[in-house]
Amino acid sequence: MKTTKNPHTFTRIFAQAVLRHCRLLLTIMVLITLILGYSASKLRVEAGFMKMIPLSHEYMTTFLDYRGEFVGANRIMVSLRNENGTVFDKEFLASLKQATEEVFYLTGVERSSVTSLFTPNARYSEVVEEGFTGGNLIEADYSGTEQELRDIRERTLKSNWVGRIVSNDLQSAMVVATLQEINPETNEQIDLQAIGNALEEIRSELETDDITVNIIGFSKAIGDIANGARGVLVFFAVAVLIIAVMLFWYTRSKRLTTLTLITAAVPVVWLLGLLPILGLTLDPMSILVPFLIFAIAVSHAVQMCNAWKLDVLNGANIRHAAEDSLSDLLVPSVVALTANVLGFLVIAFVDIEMVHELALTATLGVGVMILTNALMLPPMLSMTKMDEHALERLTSKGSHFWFWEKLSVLATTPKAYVPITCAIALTVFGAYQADKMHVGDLSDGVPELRDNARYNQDVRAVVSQYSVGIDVLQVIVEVEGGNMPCVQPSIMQQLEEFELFLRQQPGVASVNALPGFVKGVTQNYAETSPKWHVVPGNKAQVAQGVAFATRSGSTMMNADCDAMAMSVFLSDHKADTISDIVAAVKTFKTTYDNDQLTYRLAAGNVGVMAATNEAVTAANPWVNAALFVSVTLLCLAMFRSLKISLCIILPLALVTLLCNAFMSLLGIGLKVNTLPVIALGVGSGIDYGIYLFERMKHELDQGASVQKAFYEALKQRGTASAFTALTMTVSVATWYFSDLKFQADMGILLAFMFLVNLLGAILLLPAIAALLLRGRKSTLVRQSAAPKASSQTITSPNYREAHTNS
Amino acid sequence: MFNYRFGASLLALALGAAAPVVRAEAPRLEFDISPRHLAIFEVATMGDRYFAVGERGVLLSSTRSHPDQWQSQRLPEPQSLIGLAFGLNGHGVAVGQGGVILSTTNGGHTWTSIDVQAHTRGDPFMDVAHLGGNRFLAIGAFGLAMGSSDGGLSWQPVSISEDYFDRHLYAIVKAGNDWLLIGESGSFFTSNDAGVNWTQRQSPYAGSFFGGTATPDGALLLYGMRGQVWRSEDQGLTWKRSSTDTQVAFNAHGIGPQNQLYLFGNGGQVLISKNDGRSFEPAQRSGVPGDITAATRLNGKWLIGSTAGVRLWQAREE
Repeated sequence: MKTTKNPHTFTRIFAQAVLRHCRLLLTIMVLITLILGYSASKLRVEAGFMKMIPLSHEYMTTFLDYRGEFVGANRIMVSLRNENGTVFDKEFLASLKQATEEVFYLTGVERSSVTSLFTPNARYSEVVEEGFTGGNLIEADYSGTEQELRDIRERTLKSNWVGRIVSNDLQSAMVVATLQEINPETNEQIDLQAIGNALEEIRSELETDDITVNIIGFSKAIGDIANGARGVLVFFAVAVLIIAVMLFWYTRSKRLTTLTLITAAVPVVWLLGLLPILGLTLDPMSILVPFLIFAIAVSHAVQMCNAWKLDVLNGANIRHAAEDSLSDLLVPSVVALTANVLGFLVIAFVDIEMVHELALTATLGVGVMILTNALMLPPMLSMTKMDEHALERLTSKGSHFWFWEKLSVLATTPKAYVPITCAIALTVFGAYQADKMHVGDLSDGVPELRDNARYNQDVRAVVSQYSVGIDVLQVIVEVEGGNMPCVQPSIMQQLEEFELFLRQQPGVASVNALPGFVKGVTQNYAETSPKWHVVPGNKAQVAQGVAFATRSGSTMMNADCDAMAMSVFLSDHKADTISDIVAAVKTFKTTYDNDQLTYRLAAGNVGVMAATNEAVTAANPWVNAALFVSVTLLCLAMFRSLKISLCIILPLALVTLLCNAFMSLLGIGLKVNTLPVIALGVGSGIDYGIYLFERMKHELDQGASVQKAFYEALKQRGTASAFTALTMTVSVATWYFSDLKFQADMGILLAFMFLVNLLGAILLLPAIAALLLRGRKSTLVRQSAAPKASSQTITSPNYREAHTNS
Repeated sequence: MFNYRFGASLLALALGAAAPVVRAEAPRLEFDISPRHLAIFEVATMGDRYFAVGERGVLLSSTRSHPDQWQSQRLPEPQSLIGLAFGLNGHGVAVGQGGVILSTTNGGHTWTSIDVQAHTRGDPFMDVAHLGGNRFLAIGAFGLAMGSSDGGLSWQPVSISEDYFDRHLYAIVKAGNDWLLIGESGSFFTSNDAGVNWTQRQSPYAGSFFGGTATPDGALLLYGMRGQVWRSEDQGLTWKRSSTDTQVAFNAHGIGPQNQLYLFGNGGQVLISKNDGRSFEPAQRSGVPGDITAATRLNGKWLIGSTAGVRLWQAREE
């Protein structure tokens, strides 16, 4: 192999330069690592609501336009359940009072929004012969007497709070509050995680055998997700341990294992150190990136160590072996890492800040890896002393080459049809199954957390006990036309039509909007006769209802009453439910938008989800196209052969298709968390193809048959590729046990991608090569009659050694 | 505590009279309407067919053989339809918000809007009754009353009282041989000539009644707001309050198979009397969502209309 190398190529000169200054380089590297390591200690893990939404999406423009006017996006609900009775119980009410006070004093809570049986904004009113009467549900001088408890019960039943702050079965009562966006004391964004943790403290104080506490709200979910993300460290540790053990088993050398681990850890330290310097934080959603960087770095370090080891075994001296390895692997490793970078970069097509951050973080990580892999490992290798003992153990390797030899028959024409046929069958199956893949969430509850997580149990408890839903789509209706245009009966009647329409849609549990409220007020003013449960035909009566809504602090319309929020409570937030209601609203909008009324999607948590799902759907083809176009160009640039590029790209395409099919089989939706996986899988899957084909090309250029070239490539690179694929598969598969569902999903999908990519590279790639590169083979046959014979014509010491072993 | 008076109808009259009549825009987008997801204000029978009218001009229809399969239809007026009555030979009338009247001559298959805006000026109708022959009477808010003597095709204003009368009229019911007209603030009229002439009667209660009937034993019963139920055994000369132990409004009634008297009210409340309306007990099984507006017997069950739709319901007591 060395004999075929031009000693003046760029890679050779580069390798020589690196090795010449190896001490200087290592010193610089250690210094940088120390500085960045210090900086990494300042890294913050931070979640933000605004980062997670596609801000430039049409729906989110609406959301942002009215964020100040219609609250409700960021509410918390603390529900207490009396397991042995109703809420009208002295002990229970004492706990509820305590919960009310503690929520009231939480930092970040909008004080006036706190609502429970104990707050003055929870009033009842009733119609009596003379008009209306009303008051607080619980009087200020409440002391807990039997009579008071009976009165509270009666008033509560008369009020419209049952189902809202008291459960329908009267066994639970809740404290509801809205969170501020900005903490007025510090003028900083409120700390969602801190609120989540404070809520958890309230739970631990109040929960007893008799009282169950359920807490839901975005901040609580974020808190739980962040706590789950902390568990990532455990998975990180487990994965590193697994990798270390497997490395040792593979290399049989403590030194090589340590070197590989160090080389893989350094880019992670650099990355974590660069983030605070660049003013970035680590989002719980992208907390896995450092680990991915580690896994990819291990993969490349193993290739380098493997090449070095083979050279040393073949009698080269340690320094020359390091130089050779760097020189040989520089191009394939840089190309493969560039493919990784592209894989990460293309996900930035999803127009969500969090995804951009993820792309940036990962790109940064792979970028520094290109440096550390080339500038750190070879110098370290050149200074590694291999003792006789270790060399002895190492020489016993290669006993598995018989397997590679057997496998290489796939690169001959009749046998090649077997994997090709399988691939075609899998393509058909994959295309059929992938067609059923969904965008968005396929389950209820908070998708980041597991189904049986406490938070999701709390959600189910609250939704089943009360009439409130937590999945809300808000459609904003803008009205033109003078002062307080909403009081015009003609306007209100159009909104009434919209409300009726919304209620008919499948998946809609209820609709909360101004027309319905006006109907209720009109009925109450007419002595509760349900014949007045209508939008009245005159302006004064409509105004009466609207005025009532204003007085009760309603968030159904803005102050000028020229924008109304129609809240559609959905039974769940499954992708189909969301896309159905969004499509229905669009149909209505197309028919009814006019000079006066504009129906705008969307706010509410479902509005955010709809925008996110649409952003992902819109980005998906671009991500895939950009990914495949760029890796194809990369292959073309490297190999200058369309056929070779196809040999690498086709298996990748099949694996991507199968990954989609796999997702649809497992019920994993395409979303912000899973879209990067495919890009990543392709980015890292191409490693195998590039490393293998780079070697094959050398052999082919020297006149070897496809089978022979493939066999040689497998011997030199295949073992390392297979090892890293298995290592990465096993280590990401451990994520399956994570508390966070998206992490578990990503783990399964990445493991699948890593493993199947390897299978594609060693089973399908040679078969495609055998078919596409047949022309070359026929020229080879003239030079050497049989593959066996041709192998003896090669004089490289590498191969001699290798063949002795086989 | 707060406590204030509000003469709702007076205020509305004062302000409403000045407001121009706005004709509602007809819906242009067709969509299926579920019998559970709209407010129903009245149910009625026509031969073997059952009808329910509700918000936004929706008419639902089903048959005795498949009472749970409802077909929805939007009538030519998009206003909420509050009253519905059928007469002879397939004639029928639906009335409602905005002072609209719709009539059918083919048993409810097709409906025509009758323009009575000149008289109603947008005031809502609350009930309509078939008085016999080709005669219908429709009543509504602010003393609104119109009659038809040609099966609902043409309508003329009707005078209920010789004195000025502007209270809401809520229900017309037949009680024995008499007809009762029931309304706001104790308004109560009777007619013994099938609704040609009406006599204002003394109400036992200052609040509003929403309905009334003759009991199986021939007594008169009036019911309305705040759980008020009154019974008279002498054709309305003297009244006695029936015990109900509830304060919700009652809007509809019915007679069960063993002559039990049923009252249906807000919040899905159902009361049953086994002593001809002298006292009422809550039904053991509730579970009808919304405020009940109408009830009629169908195949041994109750067909109930409420602000949360139309459904079949059976009392555990039966």
